[in-house]
Amino acid sequence: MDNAGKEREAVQLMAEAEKRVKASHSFLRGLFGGNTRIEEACEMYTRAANMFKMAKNWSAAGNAFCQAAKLHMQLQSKHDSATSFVDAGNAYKKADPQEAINCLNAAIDIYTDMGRFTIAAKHHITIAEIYETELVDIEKAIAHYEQSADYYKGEESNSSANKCLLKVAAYAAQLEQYQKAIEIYEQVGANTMDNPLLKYSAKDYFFKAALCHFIVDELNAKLALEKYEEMFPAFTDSRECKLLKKLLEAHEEQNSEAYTEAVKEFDSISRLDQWLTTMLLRIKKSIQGDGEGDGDLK
Amino acid sequence: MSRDICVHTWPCSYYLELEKRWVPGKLSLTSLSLKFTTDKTGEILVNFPLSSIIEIKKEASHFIFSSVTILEKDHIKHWFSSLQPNRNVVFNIIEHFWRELLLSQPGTALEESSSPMTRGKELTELMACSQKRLEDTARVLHHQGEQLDSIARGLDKMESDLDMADRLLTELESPSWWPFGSKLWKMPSEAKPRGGASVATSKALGKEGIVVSIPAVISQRTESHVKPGRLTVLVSGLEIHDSDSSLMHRFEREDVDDIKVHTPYEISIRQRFIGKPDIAYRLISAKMPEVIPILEVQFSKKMESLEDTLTLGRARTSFPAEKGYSVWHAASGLMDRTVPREPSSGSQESRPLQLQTSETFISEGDAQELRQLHPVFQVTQLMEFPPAPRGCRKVVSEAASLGQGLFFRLLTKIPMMMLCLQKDVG
Repeated sequence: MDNAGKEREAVQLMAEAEKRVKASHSFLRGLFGGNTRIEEACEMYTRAANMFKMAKNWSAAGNAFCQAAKLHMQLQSKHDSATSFVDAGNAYKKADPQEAINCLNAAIDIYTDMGRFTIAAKHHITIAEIYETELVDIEKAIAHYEQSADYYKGEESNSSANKCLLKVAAYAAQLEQYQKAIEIYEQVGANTMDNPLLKYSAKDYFFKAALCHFIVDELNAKLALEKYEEMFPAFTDSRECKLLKKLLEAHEEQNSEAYTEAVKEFDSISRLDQWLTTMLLRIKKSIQGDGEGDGDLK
Repeated sequence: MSRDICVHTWPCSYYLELEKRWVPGKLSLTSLSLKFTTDKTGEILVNFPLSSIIEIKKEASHFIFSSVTILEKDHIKHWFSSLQPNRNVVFNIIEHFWRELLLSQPGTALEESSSPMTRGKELTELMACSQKRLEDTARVLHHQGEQLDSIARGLDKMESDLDMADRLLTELESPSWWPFGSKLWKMPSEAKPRGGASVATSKALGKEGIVVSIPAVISQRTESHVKPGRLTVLVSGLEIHDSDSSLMHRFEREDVDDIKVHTPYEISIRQRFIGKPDIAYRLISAKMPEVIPILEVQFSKKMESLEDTLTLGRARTSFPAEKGYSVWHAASGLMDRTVPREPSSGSQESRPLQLQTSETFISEGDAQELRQLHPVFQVTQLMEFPPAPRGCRKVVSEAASLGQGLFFRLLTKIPMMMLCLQKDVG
């Protein structure tokens, strides 16, 4: 239909642009107005990319944007180059995740070079999300989230940094790197408990930190719980804290029924999310593991 | 036990990561595990206990086909697609059994689940839910606040970039024959775009120099409305600023009709109009005794002390003996100090020496102007100013770049001077 026409037009534009670039390389052209030729080529590539986008040919669009970005780089206009790389990344994201990551990385290099760390951090998050959902490479996703958090911290946008760190902590806990998760949750909790707006979510972070402690070792969890109550008195009144105390008690008695009962009561008031379910299941398994033997759940 | 009984079986297809293809088959769920068998060979491709599930998600493969993804421990992701009868059904059932692992206890489950929900519990649930929402809202609000902050920072940066662009542009605009480099050329043109009041002040600061500036309490005509502000005595007149340092009124020196000294700490300045109300300001300041002698030098004939000449005298004796002249010296010293400060309105770079000398020349000219208020002298000053080593055109341009304010001010004065001259002759 119309899209096919657009695509054809786009292919023509690409060819034309390529010709211009080649022409600009010849000696005489290079002397006289080589740059304007490249500029024209740049514009053509962008137009072609937009047409590919209309035709939903994502990888071709990404390629065209990439070419435009490289030419922009040649013209020393870093900002345009970075923008084109981001466009390319967005286009590739729908077709070729790995290529999208390469483009976004190129954009990040440019942005960090220009000292625009906030935007670089934003693109790190995009990359991390691609790793998270498309490529399921959680280790790399964590690395990018951490990088992003570092950049945000450097630019004093702590709320964005915390967001990234919490992601890291959640994944670290899932990967059974509990120490890392605990450190992050404690740090974020301590940061937020003094903020008038954020102090209401601080109990959540302490709860999660305590759960991570719990999975590693019960005694640690008890000590941690005491510490958190001392640090943040409002934590004592929260449902999360009460749940933790019940769970600790049940675990001490190796009473899996009491454990289930406590969790169920909590769940009936506010539904547990998947992360909590996973963690609570791991603890429960440790009770049953001691009690009835592993065979039950494996 | 019940775990071996198949709960349900759904026809679906499973994605093989290595071979990058979908295999049709059956997904079967028991109460404790999840299994996938292919249709063709009956081979079991996936088999894991529900307890090793980390996450269950609804996702779309290739952005079109709805599928369920299950993240297993060690982050192995399983994709199940073309689920029959419906993705949501499968998702809900698998999630239910997963959660029941945690929540239910064989044996006790039956009686517990049958107990009805009390009203109190329902209310607690509602409350917990709204609390959660509020927490989320607070977090988002905080995040947005931070975003606003960074926007403000971005704007600041943009502004400074614009300033830079402006500077470069003015540099480019400067004519090629200008020998000093672009910085001097842009001085007058850069001062122009500032807003009205600040033009006056920057001109005052730059071209004329402040003799003295004191904080004062100001009232206009009626005494009912009093507000804090500043009185600035300039070589060419008086300026009254309010507390935000925006200009309230500027008296040119020749416009001031009389200054009444009520007490050593209080004066009123007035400009008369015919057929219009006068402009009058009443000023009170603790530092007034320092200013009155300077005013006396500047406006000797127009000063009028109403009462308490004794206290005035006392106030004045606190100053060095030769009143007027010495004060003037102090004032001109002040002015000399203000002159090098002048480039702060534009660039920070120091200016060439030649200009500085002509700058002091102006101030000396002004000193003359101050000392003997003779209009003819001003006219000759105009003729001589500035020192012209390089032909007429340069003289004009230099005048434009330096003493633009003074130049035009003097020009506007000419008709008045003529009047004064006529009077003198008469």
